[in-house]
Amino acid sequence: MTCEKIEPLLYLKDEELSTGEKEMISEHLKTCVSCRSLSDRIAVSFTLINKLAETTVQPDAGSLLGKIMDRVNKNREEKPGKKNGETIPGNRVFLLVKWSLSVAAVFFSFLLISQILPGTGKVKINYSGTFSGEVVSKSHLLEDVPVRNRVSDKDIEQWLKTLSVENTTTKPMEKLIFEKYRQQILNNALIRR
Amino acid sequence: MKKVDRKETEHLIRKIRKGDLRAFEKLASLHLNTSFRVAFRVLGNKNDAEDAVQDSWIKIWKNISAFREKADFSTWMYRIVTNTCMDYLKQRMHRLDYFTDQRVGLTMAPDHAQNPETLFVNNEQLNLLRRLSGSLPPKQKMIFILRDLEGLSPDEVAEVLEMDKDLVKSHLAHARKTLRIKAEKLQKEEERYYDMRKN
Repeated sequence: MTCEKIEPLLYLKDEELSTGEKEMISEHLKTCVSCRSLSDRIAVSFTLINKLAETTVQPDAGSLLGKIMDRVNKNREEKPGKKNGETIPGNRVFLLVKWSLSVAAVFFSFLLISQILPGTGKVKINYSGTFSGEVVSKSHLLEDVPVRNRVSDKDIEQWLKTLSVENTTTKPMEKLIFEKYRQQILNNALIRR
Repeated sequence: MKKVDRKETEHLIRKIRKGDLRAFEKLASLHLNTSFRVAFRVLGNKNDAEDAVQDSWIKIWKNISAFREKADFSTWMYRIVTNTCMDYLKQRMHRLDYFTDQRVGLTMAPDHAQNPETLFVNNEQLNLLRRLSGSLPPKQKMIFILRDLEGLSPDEVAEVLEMDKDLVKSHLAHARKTLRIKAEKLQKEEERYYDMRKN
């Protein structure tokens, strides 16, 4: 065994070496003076390291613990409620209220937007001599079709003039009306024509 | 490795998972000295060590649910503290005091400890440690501190740093060699200094 291969092993302590490695070192040191010298110097450095290990440092525990707890209190909200089926720290009542409020806010926002914005109302198609359409509230509808704008008699008349079974229309509102009332519209259109 | 009673730790962790802040405070107080000692040995000054310990315990609080109950808490805590310290060392790469400490070796980074008498038992030895270990690459430094100063077994060091045990031993041998060479060099400088004073 060469010195180059033995040298790294000399820096390891007995409990870090395998039986085979210990035997190799022992055999090598019997015949190698320079490695024996190195081994002695390493032993001195181990003594120094042991002394350093005995040196202890202590924090100002009260102050440091206080700082940690302050930060934990500030971070409590960041703690999610559950992960992997386990309960993890956090104020669960607070989190429940927070979640409920979020869901409620989204729901009421949706309701508000659906009542205010154009294009989210409903249209009812009537036929009494001519076709007509009007935006009405949900509760009065038997059959609802969402449209983007109010539908006037003129719009429907215009649309009926261009109507064909094969090629209806690409406009979303008209397509929806046609799909929903296809048969009725076709029958009436035929009657009217 | 000095270990806090395992059953007590497990009991506290169960309570922490239910949101018990007092249990967390108790757990932190039980392990505070160990975590500070490691951080101080790695970073070499009180302010950085305290910051790293705070960051580490915040991570412990946030991730306690990820901790497997059957695992050893000390090992997990050591991992969090050493990883946090590693981040601090990386940040410090750009700071002047790091280079002063690393390249000149004998010039120490200023310590801002307000009450050094409560912090140091042996200032001279700590300075020596800082001067010696300051020359080690971060990984070797971490392994040297965990194994030789904290007294963890090579298996425990490998687990904390998530490394192969043979690699740990290899790094350890390199670290000890560097420290031996540096210590001998310092000793020679010291002898030369005393010789000069005599003459």
